[in-house]
Amino acid sequence: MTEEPTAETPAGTATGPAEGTWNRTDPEWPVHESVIAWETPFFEAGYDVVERPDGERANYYWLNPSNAVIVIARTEDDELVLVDQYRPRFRMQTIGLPAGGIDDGEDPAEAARRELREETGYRAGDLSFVESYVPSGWTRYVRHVFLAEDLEKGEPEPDEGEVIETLTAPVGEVLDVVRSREGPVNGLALTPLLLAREDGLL
Amino acid sequence: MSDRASTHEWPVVESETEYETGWYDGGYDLVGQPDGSEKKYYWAELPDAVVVVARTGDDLVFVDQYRPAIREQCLELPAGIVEDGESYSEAGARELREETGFDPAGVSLLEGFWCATGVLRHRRGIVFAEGLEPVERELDDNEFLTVTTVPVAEALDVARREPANDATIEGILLARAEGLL
Repeated sequence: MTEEPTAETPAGTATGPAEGTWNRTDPEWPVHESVIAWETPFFEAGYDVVERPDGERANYYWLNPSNAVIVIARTEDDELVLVDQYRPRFRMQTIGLPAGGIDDGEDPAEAARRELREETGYRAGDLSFVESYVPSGWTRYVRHVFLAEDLEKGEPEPDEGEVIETLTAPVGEVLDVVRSREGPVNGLALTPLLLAREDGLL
Repeated sequence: MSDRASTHEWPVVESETEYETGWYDGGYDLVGQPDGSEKKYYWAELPDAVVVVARTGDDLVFVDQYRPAIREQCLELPAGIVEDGESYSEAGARELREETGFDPAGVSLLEGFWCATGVLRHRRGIVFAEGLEPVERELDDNEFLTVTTVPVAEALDVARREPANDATIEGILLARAEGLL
């Protein structure tokens, strides 16, 4: 079980992509060089030249986006808040949970409240931590899952150009709603929903 | 749902590859948004991957390996890249055989999904494998991994230990949701 991130943990005190978001400083295999090869406004990418146990050196590619939060928001009527939006990266419409990147220096819990508010308009009275995990074996970032309750509906504050439709679905049907959408499922929503159900939160 | 998808299709003004590696291609799509503005959506694109929930008796097969890119030792479900022309199930059977030395009698797809990280353009399939027969392993030269088994009852706790692994948690919970564990 993972410890809850707080303002004291590295995850909540990101100072920049290189230091704050991924600060594993004691690699088990020697790193001879770390090269930034591709920079975008949102992340850096590159490779480490790593010495394997057999003495060979090889490049291991990484990406370094900001850590992210995912919010399972439950209304008083036992419905969950879902977001339906076009994903240009996948060139398709997806349905999933409110989520987004953690800003530099932002506490994960604060990021969860902010993303929920901006994307759906809901303000969370109660927020509890569910789990943190690494989504990929080569992407240097962590996702934090939160459960938001005691919701108050307000106006969303979408980013420029962002088009997000908010809907709700009964707790017992949410997984079916997410999984029955045509095409590949939105994987971002799957683990949090399954975990929350497993932990008896839904 | 497909009607709605087509009405929401945003035009791709330009698609540019900026960084090519043997592992993935990185680049962006310049996309026209509904309000008329244009925005670059960056992506890292790589082939589909498969993750295998392999059950033998009351145990699941795990692999323990160091992941140099994230500098973590990971105890996780066997996984690998789907090769051209393979289905998730075929790739899962092959990866399981090569990585762990277990040849499955039956493999079924539990779910296929976008590994939606806000960067990756990458799909993942989770398959369930059963009827495992021990065979010879065939590791790639860059794979240094130990095969181990974890009791089904403890698998989720193991998966949630630091560094908790998304695909492993997902695989176990999807298999459980199907009544397979």
